[in-house]
Amino acid sequence: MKLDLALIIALASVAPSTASAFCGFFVGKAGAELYNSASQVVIVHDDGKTVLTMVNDFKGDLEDFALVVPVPIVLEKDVVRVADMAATDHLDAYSAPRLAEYHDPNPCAVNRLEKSMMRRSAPSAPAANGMMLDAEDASQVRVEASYTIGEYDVVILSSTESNALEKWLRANRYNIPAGAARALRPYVRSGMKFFVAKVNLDEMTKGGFQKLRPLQFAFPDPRFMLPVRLGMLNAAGPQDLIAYVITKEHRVEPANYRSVKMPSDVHVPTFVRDDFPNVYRAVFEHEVDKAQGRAVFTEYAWNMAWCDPCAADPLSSQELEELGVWWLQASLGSTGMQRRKPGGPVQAYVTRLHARYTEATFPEDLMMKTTRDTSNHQVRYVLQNPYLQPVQCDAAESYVAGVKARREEEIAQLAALTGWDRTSIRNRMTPLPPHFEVGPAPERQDFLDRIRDWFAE
Amino acid sequence: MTTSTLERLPARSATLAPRRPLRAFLDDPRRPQLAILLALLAYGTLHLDFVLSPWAIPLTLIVAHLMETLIPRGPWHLCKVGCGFWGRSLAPGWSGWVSGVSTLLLFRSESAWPYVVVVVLALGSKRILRVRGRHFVNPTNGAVVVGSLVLPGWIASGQWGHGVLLPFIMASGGLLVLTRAARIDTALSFLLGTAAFLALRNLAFGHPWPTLAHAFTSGTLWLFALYMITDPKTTPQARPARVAHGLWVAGLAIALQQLFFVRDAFLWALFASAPLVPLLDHFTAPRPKGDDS
Repeated sequence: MKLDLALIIALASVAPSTASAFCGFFVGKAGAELYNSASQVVIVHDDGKTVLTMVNDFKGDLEDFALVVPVPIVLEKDVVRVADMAATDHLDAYSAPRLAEYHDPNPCAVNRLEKSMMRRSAPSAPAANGMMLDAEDASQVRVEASYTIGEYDVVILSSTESNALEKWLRANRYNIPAGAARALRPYVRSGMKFFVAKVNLDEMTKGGFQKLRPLQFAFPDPRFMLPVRLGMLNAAGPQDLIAYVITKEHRVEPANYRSVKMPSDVHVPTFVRDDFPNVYRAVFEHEVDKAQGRAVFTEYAWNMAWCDPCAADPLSSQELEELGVWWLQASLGSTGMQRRKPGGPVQAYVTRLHARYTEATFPEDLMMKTTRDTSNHQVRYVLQNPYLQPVQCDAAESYVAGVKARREEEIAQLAALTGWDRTSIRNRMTPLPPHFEVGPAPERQDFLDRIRDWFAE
Repeated sequence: MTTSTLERLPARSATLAPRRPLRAFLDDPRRPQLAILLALLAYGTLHLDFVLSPWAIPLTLIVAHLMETLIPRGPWHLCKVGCGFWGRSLAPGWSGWVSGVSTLLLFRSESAWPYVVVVVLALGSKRILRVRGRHFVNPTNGAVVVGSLVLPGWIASGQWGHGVLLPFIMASGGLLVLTRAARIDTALSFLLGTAAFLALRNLAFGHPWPTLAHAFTSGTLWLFALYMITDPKTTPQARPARVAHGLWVAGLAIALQQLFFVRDAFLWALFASAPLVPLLDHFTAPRPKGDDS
């Protein structure tokens, strides 16, 4: 049994989807599936209580899967359950960075077109070894509870000494990475308990499950933090964490790291449509570099009642309850679709935080803080397709000039977003048809012409 | 962030007949302080993604200025004949501006009005919460902490991030201000206290040592240490008492953070320790001449 000390290693596979929206047409999104070692966790938090859902999209041998999470109290069986993967997938899809596409009408008439597309990528796994437990070590570790939930065997451990805890885990055939005792020490000394889960293969077979389902548990949580430090133990390189934090009505931000909103509402060249996941990954990496890795990025912050444009429909109240949103029962009807737009906010606000962390850049666990901010933020990039058919009218000339100027602006924007050089971006762009070449040169010329015309009048 | 009142110390300026402009500028420590805080505000707004509504800045500063100048501090302070905007009414406004900019640096809200309420609370508390003629609650500190409880706003402690350059710039500017305001002892005792208590915490709980560097590269910590806790009006008057106060605030903050998971613990610790200042002064402050009490 190998112990994966990472919070989780997960890659949700989001199905390609499209949805029409009030403003623009949604054509693509870059969900959690595109990062190689990404953990996904849903945190439902209010009034000092938390429901944590950990997505376990573990791709290795199931015998090797296990999970350790420090928790403030002994979790009894009735506060632990297995959640439905579909709800977390839906949450990922709903909050993912998105691409909105528009088409220029015929500058000489009014005419509309619409289009769509999508994409995805791959996973990772942990390491191993073993050791004996002596009587003294055994006395320093207590099994506070032990039960089977769905396909998981769960033990709740308490310990007074981190080395003893490490030895206990090894003796019980959890193969943990070197340095585990050191990483576990602050939690042991703070009196925290350990939620340890592994896969019960018999139950897995009996239930006929193809994939591990998310584990969910509830606990009083005055700390409101994520123990990201544990996830670094068996990490070869930087780790990605995507945390979906659901509160009643306010945005959540990191308390001990800088919070950065991912750039949004930028016009980018139309080739991005076919390569959006890679482009967004480059944007994210560029932002991480700019912040020297020492920031947590907000990719989405929105009241769950609506979205615009929607990367996926908002979650229904059943799905929110599936994720542990306990305060909704009384206040809502049952169908989520009724709650879309403008009918007023719903008591569920989701903040999607994305961090890429290493041992050096994140020396402390991620502490969170609920702000009083109710404003919205999403990562939305815009494609504007030019009208390419030859046209003849007074407006045509200035339209051609405008399109050329716009393409230059899109190149500049994408270069600023990703750090790519302009020539390589320009080379990827589809050339304009020949009739665009005869028009006047863009921008300045156009501006000077207008001045001349103005003086001439 | 010494809120308002870095005590006006312009006495020396009066004796120097033709003064050079820089010297004149530095004579009142609140002026370089204000300049640095304004630069930080510009940096934060333009570069660090501060959540700050565009109306908040002018509104807060105007209200701060009006609070300091138009509300008389006493009947003698009413604007007399010849009082010009720059002459008489702006000069006494420095502390108001410092409070205003400090509020804009610390407090966050979606709308502009909560900033205005905070600055009114800050400058109002200075007039009301007084012991023996001195206010003892650091005005911006108190107002921001109370504001984060009762207003639709919050304190953005992580916003400065963790680098090396920004703390260095804050520190050099802070030293300049503090040496002129003679409150460097408070800053040093607080910073050394923070380092010592964090080290103790790490030993006790087994946190990794890089957490110490993480704490000391925080722009927020330096801003607090150099521009807030060092407010001459709300620190004890005697040096030993100031050192004790700095150490106490550091210790309390780390205890609140470690044991009770309080966010923005430094601000809460300073606020909670405000009543200590008149108490320490009672036992340690040098008595003014002729005061036999």
